[in-house]
Amino acid sequence: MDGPESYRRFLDGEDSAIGEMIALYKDSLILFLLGFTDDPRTAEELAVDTFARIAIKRPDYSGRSSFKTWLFSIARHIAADYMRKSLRSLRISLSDCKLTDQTDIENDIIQNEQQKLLHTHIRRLRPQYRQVLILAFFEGMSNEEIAAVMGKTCRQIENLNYNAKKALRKQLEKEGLGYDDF
Amino acid sequence: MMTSEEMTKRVLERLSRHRERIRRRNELIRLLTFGLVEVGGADLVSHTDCETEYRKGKAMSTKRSTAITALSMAFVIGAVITTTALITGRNAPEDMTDDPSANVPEVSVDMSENGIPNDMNNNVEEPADEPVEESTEPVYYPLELRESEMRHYTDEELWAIQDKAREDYAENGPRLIDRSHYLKYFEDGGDMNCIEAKSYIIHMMVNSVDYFNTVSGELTIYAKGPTSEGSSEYSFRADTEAQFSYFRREDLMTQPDIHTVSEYYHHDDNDFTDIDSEAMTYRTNRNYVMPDMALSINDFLTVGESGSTVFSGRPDRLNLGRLVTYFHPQDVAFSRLGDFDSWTVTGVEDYIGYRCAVIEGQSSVSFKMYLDLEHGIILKINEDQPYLTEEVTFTSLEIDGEVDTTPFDTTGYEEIIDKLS
Repeated sequence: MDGPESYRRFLDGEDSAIGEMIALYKDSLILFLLGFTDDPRTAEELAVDTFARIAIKRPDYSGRSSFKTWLFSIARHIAADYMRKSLRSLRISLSDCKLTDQTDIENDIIQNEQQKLLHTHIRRLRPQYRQVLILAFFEGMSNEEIAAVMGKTCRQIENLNYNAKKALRKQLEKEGLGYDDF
Repeated sequence: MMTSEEMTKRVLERLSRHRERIRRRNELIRLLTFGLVEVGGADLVSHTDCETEYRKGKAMSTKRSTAITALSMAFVIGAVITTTALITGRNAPEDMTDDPSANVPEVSVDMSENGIPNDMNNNVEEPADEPVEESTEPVYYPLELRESEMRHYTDEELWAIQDKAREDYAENGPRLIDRSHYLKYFEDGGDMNCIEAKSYIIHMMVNSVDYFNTVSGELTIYAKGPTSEGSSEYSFRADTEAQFSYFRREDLMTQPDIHTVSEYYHHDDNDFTDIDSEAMTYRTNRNYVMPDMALSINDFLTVGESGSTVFSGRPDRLNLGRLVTYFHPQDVAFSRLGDFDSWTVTGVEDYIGYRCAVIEGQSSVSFKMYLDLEHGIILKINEDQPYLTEEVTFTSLEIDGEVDTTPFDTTGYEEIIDKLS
């Protein structure tokens, strides 16, 4: 079971194949979307929006980038759109209807204790730093892939990565932790 | 946390609702086209209003006018589709013809009963027709004017400014300005020596690399001193986005008689490969480059704590060795043009196909240069010092053309590893 194959079957009319894509990418997508919002519930809903957008609009996947890169770049547009709208209108805050505790979602997605600790610190950074570090540390993406997802040049990602790591190091040192421990 | 099954259910529900709306819309158009619906009928109002309410959350008080408007639009669309089908002889699209027995009252939707979950879905609008793309248009900054007095900073202040400039660059990219306005200004014979015109020149020199991605061509450096004379012929190509560069340098000294050829490749992020093609060896060095900065033109050259001047240069993005001085002449901008009273723009001329400002001046040396006004590259410069004359001339230059970025092929070459590196 892989993403492109599931998507091809979905495009061929097999609706249930979207479920395979969701099972494959849901967790990492939510983790990525947590780079845009502090609220895990919102991140979940943005993930639903992403898959729904794909199901409804059926965009082409050319195979030029990895499927995950393609999926994340769609999610980024949706998250950016959501952020713009939420700035324009005072919609009901999703944090008012929390169904699950914030840390539950993190615990479900990130199993490794050390990674959990790292993620806790990453979440305190500014959104773009969070996004680049999540993609690099948790998704293992290359600078080229991160650039494709975030719609920036490789050079900008390199710089962003550098500054993000520097900010993270400062954050960890403040807590008495060593950056190299991770 | 939502399980995969729950998320799949939500997505499929959204897909199902979308399909239902498409089907109802097409059915409505089909019925209208063939005059099967009475305009203003109660059932039609009910159907259209539910659609409207779902989409926009508007109050039901707008029912009738919305329905009539939608009906009118649908009628026009339907008529166009029908006419087109008749003219072209094509059938209506497949999804317009399904379920012909369906009637409008049966597909009316009761918002409270159609299963729309009472959660975020009610707050989130359906996705727009196309994903909202972030604008790819560059954001232009106003031209910053060069201040007459240099800024004074403590070390801490300067580091903070540099850190902020790096963050700014990483997040927002370079500080581009709209060049068209200034190009026209120079072209129309505006005062080429006013503060604004000279600030534009400085801006272009310190930020030239933001205005092109690739370069290729040839350049000659000729130098004559009291005991030596010679020239260096360069051929080069570079792609800043691909982080690739190559140049070949051929030194021809006539006094003393020396002839050497060297080649350099830069690729794979920070690896810099120095090739000795005669010995068939190469050496790879790490060439760490600091992150780039979006720096004010007034913060490049400042006065430090000790009272001495401090130059905060941007990193070398081109990796073309000495040629960076001409492609990204940030040091020349301050060493030769730092004092606005010591140089003048004497005209605008074409040089190897680029519109150039001709700049003449006297700093520690007397100089004349041709600066490409669109990209900030020094295309030609003559400098006369008491014991040295130097002339740098691009003989050909292509900007933003196709560049071969094939990495250096090490086949047949032996790698030299420096033990101390």
